[in-house]
Amino acid sequence: MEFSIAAAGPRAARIAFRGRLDAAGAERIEESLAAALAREQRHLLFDLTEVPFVGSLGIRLITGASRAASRRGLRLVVFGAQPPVQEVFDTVALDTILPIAADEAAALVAIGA
Amino acid sequence: MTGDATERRGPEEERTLLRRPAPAATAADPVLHVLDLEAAEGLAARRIVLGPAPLSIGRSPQNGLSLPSGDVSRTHCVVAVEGGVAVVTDLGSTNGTLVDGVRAAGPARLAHGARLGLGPFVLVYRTGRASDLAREEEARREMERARRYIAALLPAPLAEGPVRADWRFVPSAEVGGDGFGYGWLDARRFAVWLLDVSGHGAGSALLAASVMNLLREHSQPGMDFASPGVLLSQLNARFQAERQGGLFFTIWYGVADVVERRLVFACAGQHPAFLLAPGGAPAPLTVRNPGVGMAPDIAFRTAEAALPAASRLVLFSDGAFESRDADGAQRGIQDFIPALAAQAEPGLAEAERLLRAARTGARPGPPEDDIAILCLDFA
Repeated sequence: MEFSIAAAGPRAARIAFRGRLDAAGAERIEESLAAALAREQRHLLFDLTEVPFVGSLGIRLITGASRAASRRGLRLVVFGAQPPVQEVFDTVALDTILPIAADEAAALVAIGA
Repeated sequence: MTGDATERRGPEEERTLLRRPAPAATAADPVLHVLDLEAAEGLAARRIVLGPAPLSIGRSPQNGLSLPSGDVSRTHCVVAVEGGVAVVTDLGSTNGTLVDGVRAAGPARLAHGARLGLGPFVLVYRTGRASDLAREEEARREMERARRYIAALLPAPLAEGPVRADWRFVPSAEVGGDGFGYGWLDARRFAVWLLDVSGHGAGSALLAASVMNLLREHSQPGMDFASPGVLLSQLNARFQAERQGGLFFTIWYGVADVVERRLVFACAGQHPAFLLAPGGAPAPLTVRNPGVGMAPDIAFRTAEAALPAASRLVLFSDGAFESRDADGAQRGIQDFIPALAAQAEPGLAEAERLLRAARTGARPGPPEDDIAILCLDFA
């Protein structure tokens, strides 16, 4: 599990994840992600296109990042979930907590950036 | 080859160290390569320290490690440490040597934590400084205590009465944070729940234990155990993830009224439970809510279902289906539903049949996540 950060338009950053966001994957990037996001001044787009699996610690990573972002007046949107990942998001009703978009364009619309 | 690998190594090395003193840290704290035999077939668990000579493993007593089972060949495989790397080589055994569930074709390098399967036996390879291995061992013992504590909170099966209950529970090596319970709230209402704390390990086990301790009382000031939606909101107020080390939990909670034959339930972030009426297909019982603790002030939705005579309610944790098979492919709940619909097997408890179905095709060894399966039969 690894992630990279790139600009997505003038006011948003795209954080692209690659690998399984299971317990081991989430633990591997937890601290480095939190450190990177703490410096971020832009809205956040979590790109899960290259993530085949999200477990409960992956959900925790996403909701934790979303809470931290909203405290700083930033918005976080998730996009690109593969069908098995979307199924997990449906089960935990993630869309009642943060916006989930189909693709990057829809994600940019969702955060209004 | 005769004798135990430990004995071959000990005295030799001590003499060497006396003649040519190595740097103090290394001498006091050497890097060890060990195989931890897990208890099976009447053999107690024990640790074998690999020495400079290869360790032969097989059924016959001439081996460095003798494993008495008809499924182990006379000389089955050999493990050698060369240049700090442990390698296992199968010696043409009948049933093969499995490394993390995959049959080793040629010499296979062992990674720390690799699981060697020989017939019914499992050997876990570990390497590291003696002090680090000792610390790991202590952590494993602590985890075992957490596991026993959770197990002690689980309810006894109910063999008689208007609701009969039976279950199976297989904890994962790291303790997955599953828990469940049931019991009568009054003369006609029966509550049942199954929860799964996010993550693994001691933190998850602690949260699971505190929620279980709360729920198993079936009565607490300020908590409404008869109203699933209200109860989950009350739990949500108590267990916000930000105050629980970031951990949240998913839960399915239902209350059956055996007089009115109705089931009221709420499901927070969890997959469905399934209701099986006689002759019917498994009906998923679900209602969309986030997990408990994921966000403050959630109004948890509830749903209802009729409870026909002789119906069965099955609850299970995601460990029952969310495993990877021997090829590493991810399995999902759709792979488990056919097992729910399948015929009962005479002489086999339904919870046991479902557990076997859950483990069929999964990688051998302890499951990746806790497996909890709970069956309630309504008269």
